[in-house]
Amino acid sequence: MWRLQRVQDEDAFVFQEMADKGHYRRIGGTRQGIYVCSPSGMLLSSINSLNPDDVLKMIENGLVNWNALPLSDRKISSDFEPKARHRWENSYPENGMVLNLSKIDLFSDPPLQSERSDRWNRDFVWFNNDEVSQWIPENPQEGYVYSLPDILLDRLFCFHLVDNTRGQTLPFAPQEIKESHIEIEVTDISNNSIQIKISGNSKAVSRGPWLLGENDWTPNYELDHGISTNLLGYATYDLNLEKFTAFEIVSIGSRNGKTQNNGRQNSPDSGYIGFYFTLAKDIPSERIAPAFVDVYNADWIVQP
Amino acid sequence: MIKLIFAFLIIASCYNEKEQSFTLTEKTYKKWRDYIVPTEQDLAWTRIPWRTSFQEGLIEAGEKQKPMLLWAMNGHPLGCT
Repeated sequence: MWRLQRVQDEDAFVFQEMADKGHYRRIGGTRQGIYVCSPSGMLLSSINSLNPDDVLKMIENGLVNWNALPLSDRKISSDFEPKARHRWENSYPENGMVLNLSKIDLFSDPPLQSERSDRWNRDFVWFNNDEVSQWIPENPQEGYVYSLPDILLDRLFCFHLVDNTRGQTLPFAPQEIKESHIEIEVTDISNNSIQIKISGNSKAVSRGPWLLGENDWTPNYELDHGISTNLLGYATYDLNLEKFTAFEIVSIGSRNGKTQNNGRQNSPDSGYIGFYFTLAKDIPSERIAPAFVDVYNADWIVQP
Repeated sequence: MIKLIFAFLIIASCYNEKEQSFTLTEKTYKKWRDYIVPTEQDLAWTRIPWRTSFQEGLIEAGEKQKPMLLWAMNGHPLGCT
């Protein structure tokens, strides 16, 4: 969404021109919403609402407007090809590992389904092939304990164990990670597979000026916020396939403070968040780039 | 004196139990995992085989002669693209 509403690219221009005629009826600003459009990008109807009845009505209006269109307007001309010159998804690590990360607020212990928040979020964590190999010690022996390298710690603690459960938040700078440690214990080696136990903890504190330079995330004012986490997980690495065939980590984060757009205006100043990492499926909706891909600590990500 | 010691032990055990809430151990792992994993209701929207590229969606809509439904939100549900 960020890309479509901000960048100068052919497909983005089609979206921006259509969305500027939509529910917000203005040029610029957010264009978030739900739209019905023709194949040539002609707006048929739109709304930005969480009310399913209103969304359904908007879709029905879109269909009415579609049916009223002359046949000539339903087609796209042969030279209409809104190319996207750059998409972050083009850097998808085909031979690496992608984790699907779900996160939700935790209100009580034990957690009660009746209290479950209707807001949760997901993100994807990317590792290329070289980074995947760093999850396993070089000469694994049963009982061996290995510390995860800094690049992978920063990947998780700067960009993914963050408070964006209810909205969009900010990444942490490496200097803001005050504690970070993940231990990999080889628990079993058999049948050409390695079983590992993953455990660790972190503490991230952001106070004072923004440390990640001028980019799309630069906040308008200083924001104090932080999170401490504990992690525990289990994974299986197949030595023949040279990839993980099972991988999951659970983390509980204790958060404090808020950021500009993370929806904490009406939340207590502190609380708990649950995180769950598991292998993503190779389907279109799970090949989405990580939220902070543009500032990721990975030089293999192709920049615009 | 014995009553006092008992009271102290009860208070101390309550305090310990409170301290242990929201902790993650091998014993509590499953409890937290099962709660954090999105429910079927959370994932209802994934039953629709969403395309993730506006460009590809327009081309496919043209080929199929259908209008396109576009859900464009920052961050959720399909990420910041």
